[in-house]
Amino acid sequence: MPISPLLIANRGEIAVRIIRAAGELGLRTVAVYSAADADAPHAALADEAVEIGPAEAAQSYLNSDSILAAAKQTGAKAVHPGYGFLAENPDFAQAVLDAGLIWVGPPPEAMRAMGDKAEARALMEAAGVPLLPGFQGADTPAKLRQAAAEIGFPLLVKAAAGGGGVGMRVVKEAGELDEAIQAARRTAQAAFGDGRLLLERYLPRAHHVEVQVLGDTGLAGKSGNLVHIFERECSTQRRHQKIIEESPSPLLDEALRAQMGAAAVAAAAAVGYSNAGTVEFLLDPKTRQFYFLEMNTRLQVEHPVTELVTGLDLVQLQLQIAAGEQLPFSQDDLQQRGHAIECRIYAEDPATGFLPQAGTLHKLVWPEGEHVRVDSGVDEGQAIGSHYDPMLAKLIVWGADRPATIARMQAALAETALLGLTTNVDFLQDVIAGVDFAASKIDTAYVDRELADWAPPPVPAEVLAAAALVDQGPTLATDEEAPDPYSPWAAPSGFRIGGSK
Amino acid sequence: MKHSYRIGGEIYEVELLGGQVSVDGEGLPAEYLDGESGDWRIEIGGVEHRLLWAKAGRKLWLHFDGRTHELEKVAGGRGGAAGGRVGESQLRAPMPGQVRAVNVKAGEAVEDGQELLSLEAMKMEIRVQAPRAATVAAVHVVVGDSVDKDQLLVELDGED
Repeated sequence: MPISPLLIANRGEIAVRIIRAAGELGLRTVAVYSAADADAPHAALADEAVEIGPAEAAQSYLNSDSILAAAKQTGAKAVHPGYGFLAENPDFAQAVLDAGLIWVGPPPEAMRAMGDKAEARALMEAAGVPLLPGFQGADTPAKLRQAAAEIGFPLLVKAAAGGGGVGMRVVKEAGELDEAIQAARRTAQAAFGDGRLLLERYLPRAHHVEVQVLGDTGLAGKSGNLVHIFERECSTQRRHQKIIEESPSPLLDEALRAQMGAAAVAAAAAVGYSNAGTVEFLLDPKTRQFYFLEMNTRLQVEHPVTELVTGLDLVQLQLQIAAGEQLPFSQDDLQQRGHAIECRIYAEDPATGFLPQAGTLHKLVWPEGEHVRVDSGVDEGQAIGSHYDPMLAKLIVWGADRPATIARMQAALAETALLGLTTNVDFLQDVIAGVDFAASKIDTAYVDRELADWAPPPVPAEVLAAAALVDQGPTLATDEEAPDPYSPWAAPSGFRIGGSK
Repeated sequence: MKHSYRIGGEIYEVELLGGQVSVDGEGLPAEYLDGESGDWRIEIGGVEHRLLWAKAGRKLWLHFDGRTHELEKVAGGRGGAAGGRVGESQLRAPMPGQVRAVNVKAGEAVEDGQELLSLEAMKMEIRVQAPRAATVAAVHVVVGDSVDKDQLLVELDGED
């Protein structure tokens, strides 16, 4: 294949995902890793692995020169950027192409057009894709204040060069605007090197519904085929970042699905898109109006829910498209079947504002069973630091309908054990089991609004009893007297009692 | 043997003797059945359970009945572990990050809730606020500094 060897410019679960998919297609794979990831699963899984820099992302996974050097060194023919890091960096995509390599993604021009949120809004307006009232353009404080008055409150201040919810601020009234602008500009500058801002009306109870698109690059002289692969509902978010996603969206009927699919294809076509991408919309459940939010010009974290309801492998399709193949199906061939839900497992503490946690995964047990899928980038015994995004893995389940899928997810979460640091598994269990999730009443601000005071349930006496058993050791539990502190059995670890190994 | 654990903000005492566990006065039979380190079958109150566990230092993690719990071993029971508000005068970084804004200086009077500093870490802006009305005794960082978790940022004088 013209894309072998394939270099995966990423880490964690998505690197594992891509390496496996590539392996199934018979491709040779090259992983890159930072000094902090020398023992990471993705590095061990690929055919070859190259160290590209120290732990800091800026010097490793964001280091374009280092990654290109690794490609040259290993003779890689193509680069898959995953999501995050350099995946939406058009300069990197162009550098890959300039080095004579194949880029597994859309053309850099399409990335540029959609990467600038202000420019994207202008393009969507021209393409007839519905937009929220907003302002993009010269963002002096005076212009922003004036635009804000026209848009109305509440509104969102966003980084024009940003994405993923980073640096977004809700402004409830005019008095808060100046401070929000300053803070947003600061964060935008720090995170994206670009302090430009745009404003958008804020819909307080909106749902986030996104549409997967996929396009090939066509045959010589003909433009490519572009299809949509249905929607994902991603409204369960904390701080504007998704934690639970599902497909189909319980809010859509066939008519709305067709309209949104058509709008997504129009959006992608407007920038000459090819390969995989996602067009994100906000849906007002009351008015059933939908509005373009942004387009992510890469594979999405939550792509597995689409895969489970359509039977497609989106990563393999990305690779095949990059290798010059055409889409093996037309829009009419695609169907959704059943329901899928994904929970993102994060090393964070929901009881203290979701602060990221570091620690060692002393014990790791994943759920198993039919229609249960785990996309993990971590192994038992792995040290989890704070250098990178704290997402450890994704748990995805399929069921014949939504209630069956919810039940299956509850069972899967109950079987999930990550011991050694705090994770959001307990929190996810409570959300999935709640009446609001069952009734699809969760809007994008729900978690921040309703679950700000979440705490784990009180500890039952059985758990304390179990703790004492662990601390005291197996046979000491039955001793009638207090143990002799000098006895070899006094220390619960280090001695195996009653049997050979 | 007695054991004390801190879970969340609470301290619990457990005594295990002769196959009986006493938790804050409530009695339960408790027994290890079999299993290797970290993966046991146990019986508590007559019901069999799988128990997954891991220990590191004073921390103990248990996965039991579909939920995970984190406990911290505490020495000396309730009396010995005040577990309290040590260091309300010392404001420390909750996680590694970079200082984005410093809004106060030594000698300045601040109000309860006033934003003293702002850090950026892991795609978030973290605002460090005064836990009470006080006077700033010292500011130990400047804009642009990289800080580690628990690094001392600001010291406050004054009383509650």
